[in-house]
Amino acid sequence: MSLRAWRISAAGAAAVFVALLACGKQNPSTGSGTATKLRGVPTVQINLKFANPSYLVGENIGMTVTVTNRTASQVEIPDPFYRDNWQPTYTLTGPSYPQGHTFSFRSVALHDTRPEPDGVDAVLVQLSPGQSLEQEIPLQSWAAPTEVGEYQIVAQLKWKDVAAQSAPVHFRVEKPQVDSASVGVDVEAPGTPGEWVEWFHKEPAGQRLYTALFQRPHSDVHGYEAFGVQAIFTAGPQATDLLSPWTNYNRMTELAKWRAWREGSALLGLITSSTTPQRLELGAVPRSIVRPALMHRTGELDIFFVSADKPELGLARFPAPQWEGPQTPARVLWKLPIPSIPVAARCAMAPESAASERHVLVVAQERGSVAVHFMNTDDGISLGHWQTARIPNSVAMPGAEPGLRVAEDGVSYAAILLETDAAAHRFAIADLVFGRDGKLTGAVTVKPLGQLEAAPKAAVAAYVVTGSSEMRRDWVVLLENGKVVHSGSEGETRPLNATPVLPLQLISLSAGTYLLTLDDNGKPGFTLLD
Amino acid sequence: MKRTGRVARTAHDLTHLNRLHVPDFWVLKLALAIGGKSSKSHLQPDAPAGDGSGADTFHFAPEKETVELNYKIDDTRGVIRRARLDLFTRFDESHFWSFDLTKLGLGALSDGDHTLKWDGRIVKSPDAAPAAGDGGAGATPDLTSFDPDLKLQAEFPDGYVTVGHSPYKLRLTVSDDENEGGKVATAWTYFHVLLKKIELEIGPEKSLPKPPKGRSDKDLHVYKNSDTNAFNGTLPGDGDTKRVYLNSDIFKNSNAQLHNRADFTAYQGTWGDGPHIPIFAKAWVRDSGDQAVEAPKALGKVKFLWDAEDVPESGGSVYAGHHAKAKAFLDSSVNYDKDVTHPKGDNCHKDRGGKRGDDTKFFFPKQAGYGYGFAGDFDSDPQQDALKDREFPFKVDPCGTRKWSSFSYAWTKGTLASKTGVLFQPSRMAGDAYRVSVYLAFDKKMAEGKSSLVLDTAEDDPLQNANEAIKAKTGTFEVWRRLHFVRYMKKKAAVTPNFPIAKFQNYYKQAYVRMYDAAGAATSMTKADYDAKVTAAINARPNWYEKHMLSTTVASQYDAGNYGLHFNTWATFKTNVMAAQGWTVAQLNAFLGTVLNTDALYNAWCSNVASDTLTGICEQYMAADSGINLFQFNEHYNLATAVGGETLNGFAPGAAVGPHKADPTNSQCLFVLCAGPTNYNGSHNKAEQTVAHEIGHCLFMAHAPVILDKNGNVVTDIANKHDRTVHDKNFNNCLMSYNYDAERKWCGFCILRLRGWDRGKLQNDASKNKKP
Repeated sequence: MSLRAWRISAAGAAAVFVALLACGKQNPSTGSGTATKLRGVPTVQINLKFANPSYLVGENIGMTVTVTNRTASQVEIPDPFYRDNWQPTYTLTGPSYPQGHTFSFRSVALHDTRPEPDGVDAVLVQLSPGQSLEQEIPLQSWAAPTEVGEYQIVAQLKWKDVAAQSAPVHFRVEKPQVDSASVGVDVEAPGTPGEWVEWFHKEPAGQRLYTALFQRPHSDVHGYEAFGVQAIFTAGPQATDLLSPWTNYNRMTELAKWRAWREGSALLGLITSSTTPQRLELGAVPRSIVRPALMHRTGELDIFFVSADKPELGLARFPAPQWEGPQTPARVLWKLPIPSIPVAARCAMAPESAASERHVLVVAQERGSVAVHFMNTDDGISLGHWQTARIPNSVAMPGAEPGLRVAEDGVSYAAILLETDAAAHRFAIADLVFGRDGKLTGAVTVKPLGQLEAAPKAAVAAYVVTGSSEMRRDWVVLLENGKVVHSGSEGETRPLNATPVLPLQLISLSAGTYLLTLDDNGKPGFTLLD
Repeated sequence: MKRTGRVARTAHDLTHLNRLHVPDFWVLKLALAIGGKSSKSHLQPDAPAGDGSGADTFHFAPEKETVELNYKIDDTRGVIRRARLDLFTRFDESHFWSFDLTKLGLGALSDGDHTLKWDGRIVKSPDAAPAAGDGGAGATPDLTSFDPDLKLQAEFPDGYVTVGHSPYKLRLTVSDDENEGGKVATAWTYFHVLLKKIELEIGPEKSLPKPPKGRSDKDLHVYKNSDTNAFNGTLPGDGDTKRVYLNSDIFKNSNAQLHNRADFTAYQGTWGDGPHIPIFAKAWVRDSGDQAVEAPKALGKVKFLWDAEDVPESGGSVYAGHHAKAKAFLDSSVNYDKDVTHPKGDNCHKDRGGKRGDDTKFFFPKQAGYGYGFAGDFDSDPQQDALKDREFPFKVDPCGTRKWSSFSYAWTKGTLASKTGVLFQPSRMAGDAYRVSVYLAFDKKMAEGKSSLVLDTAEDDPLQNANEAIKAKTGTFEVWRRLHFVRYMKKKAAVTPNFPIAKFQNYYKQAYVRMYDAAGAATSMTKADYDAKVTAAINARPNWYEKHMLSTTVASQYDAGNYGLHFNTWATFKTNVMAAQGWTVAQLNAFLGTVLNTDALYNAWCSNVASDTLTGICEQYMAADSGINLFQFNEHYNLATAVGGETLNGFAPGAAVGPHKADPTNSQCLFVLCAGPTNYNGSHNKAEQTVAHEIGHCLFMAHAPVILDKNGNVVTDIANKHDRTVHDKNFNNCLMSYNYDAERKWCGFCILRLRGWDRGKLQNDASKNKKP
């Protein structure tokens, strides 16, 4: 696009009334209009277009704006895509704006809602005959439609003797129906922009897979909020157990970015920009998937699972993607008996300094005690041996996922929430340390945490994931009454102003601890536990 | 009593009589006199009447004045064998001191008028009377000829009567029996030891407590502060207000601290129960001529009661400047148990983190004291004519009943003779205001057989009604937080607009926060230095792809414009990435994923890279001193004006910055002011509001929600996570909002937080902050 821009005073731009020719309703997501000179000769056409007929609340809504010079001579208009300009304007009407909301780039960015601001120079562009300017504007940032329903948007351009109006374009906004959600973390990865949250939105045709990056707060400007919310695939109706993998590097710096899920007895993995997921048939619906999926810098994706019919741990591997030619199929590397029937499990990848070893922890309930089985599976191929520790006089907390993190030296730290008196809801947290050889180091410490005011519904422990030598460990317990107790609540039970995503997913940043939740609109996001 | 009388027998033829009388005697006068003034003699009812002269209000300055102790004995037959002086105080039937006049020789007991010189000293009776022939009545030794006895009466530690037990009753008792088994005659008189006035002054620097090892000398900074209206060596006079500036360069270390109580705890950790201000009082004794004299030994162990009075919010120096809605919020929120706490008032209540109503937090903390004059042990310290450095000299104890008040004791000798004092410790809460009073707490009352000090009561009336001569009061101490604006630097002089610092300061003034301008006029970065820092910053970017975002092809990032950083366009970025990585289009698309796959997303992404990179660059320009650093550009990056690009008027980094960023509390911060030249046109928003807003972030303030519907709900969110629970729900133009339809000012909730109140103990509905 070749633009020649200069500034003239807005005061010199007299508004001229023109008769507008509105095109009839076209495709629900596109529309165009033409403008006339006073005598009705077309000059400039403005067109709006959406990629999709409907969007979720909070989803990126890219609206393509095209301005075309339909005259035989050059025209000069304000650059539609320059922030300081107050033309063109857009009017959005719908449930969020029943009376219509008119805005311009300037009013959105600078909060200057004056129709013709004094003392401001417009930045102009010249369009040759037939020349177009086109760009996609992020409508959700300019005028967020937060209520579900049908919307209509119209663009208008008025500048000197030029006037144009687009045909109205319609789109629909729907409420997210999150069926399964997962947070992927680049653990201790310098420069990582944030966490990768993915979720299924339930639709009649299947589970629509959405992805978003939640950029970590780094200035006052942004909170811990979604960036680039987009739908990337529609999975089958039975799709569940969505997994956004955890890594030990900044995945933005690499090509392969997996996500995976389960459909019945099959695991499916999808690489960004691919339209076809890889499918791995397990033969039977697994008893459980061990969270999280682990993604290696080479592009391999590992998923531990527990077999359905027996206490057996398996490892499924999706090989690094091939950018040309056929893909190497995913396969189950091995299955290994677990000493007792698991009630919870967690896996983790060691830092690259510790060879990215895959460690797995299984929690099992035995008579009167909780058994903790741990294994360093090395690169996932060289199997280790289960090492077992027992925590007497305790019961595994229902729905509690253990915390597991591998330090720089390959030592694993594990934390398990327990009930020491299930009837009275007295609870505790056990801390265990396993050496790189997989053996328990030191004694298991059990720290009483008090008494819950209601029965626990779910719980999770997690270690800090930001670059830090400290092995800070946080935890949260969700009670049946909807309240939470967490490591920062100083023993108090506190309400949660959002709906927690189950299973609970806790992200411990050095500056705060966040829980994956859904807001009132059903949008995934993070709630700071304070 | 047995007495032998011998009578001559009369001849039988005579009629004269011999009469045997029991010899009688009286004390006809006992009075103190000086300069034509005299105390009144009180005589036994059956004694011959006196002349009724003198007054019961007689007073003198012990040690400084020598009075005549006049007494008259009627004992023509010389039968008196014993005489003693007894000194009594109120409510005590037993004497405080007794002196055996017999030990002054018989002359002291003889019939007639007697005068002894006395300066109020308490002396021990001699072991024996002067030997015969040493002199007659005229040679009776004066009481001033004996040394004051320091051990005789613990209540008179310097051996003089003191104001602490005034008024006194001095009684002379004579008897014709050495054991007072026969007739006893008495007379008595009253006298007073009074204060003329108490004068208050700031204590010397040496009386401040030592700073904790390795910590800032905070109290000294408060003491020596010479900023606007600081007390700076003088106490506020009656009707005057002086500020107590608490250095408060305390900034957030992470964005998470925007949403928790870190502001409260960090400030609490720095200032705890408040600063220490030494306040001394000099007690002047009233002499017989009603003049003020220094008579330190007359102070003895008397207590001085120190009281802190809460000055109402409406009397605050900034009260009139609040936004009407902020004022309403404050009026309601400070109205919390105003009449039931001790002291009464509206300073920050203990439930909100303040000291009002907290019996465990003292306004005048206990002090051990040293040197002369502290109660109980006068000899424990060598003579102290020079003050110890950074040690408080006076003993201070909390009151028994009036628990928020304390007693202090005076030095009666040495360099601080006649003085007493306290370390006044107001709360750390900005806007809390106090008047400090000191009272001579000598007056006693009897209740249930026990004596207690009249002023040691939870009631305020006895203090308010106290005689003017025994009290003194300061003006108002107003607590302020003081932050330092230490650097104002622009990329270039052409960066506009300048912001009016006075207007910006005024916003913070409403929260009793002084933004001290230590920066002065804006300075500019230089081309060579800036370009070098940008190049280094680009090279230091942690991610390879960011180096393709930041342009390395512009000749000079400095010359590129008034904006902070120049970025490549999306098209150039893609081209460069493909070339650098040797990628196909498919691979490029895989890399771009869902976050860099449109022009708008790329422009938005670069905003974060820009602010992050710019933060690192500006960090290198920070001043060494604690405080706030401002760096100004016109836009933080060139793509700010493009679709998807982010327009920022300013930003404050989320993470800690500066040389001390690893400290638990950060004493330095920076923020970037990066509005375009015309960004402030067309709305009520102004650069000074942006400055106040960004510093608000540095001071732990999260955004306020904006645009409320008729039900008060947020219908349009703002860029950052707002924190609606900590902003006045009824005010839509808080400085921490992005609502520019009116001038933004602090909401009442923010004002209270800036003042140091605990956000966790306040509601965003002011009516719920009121009690009852």
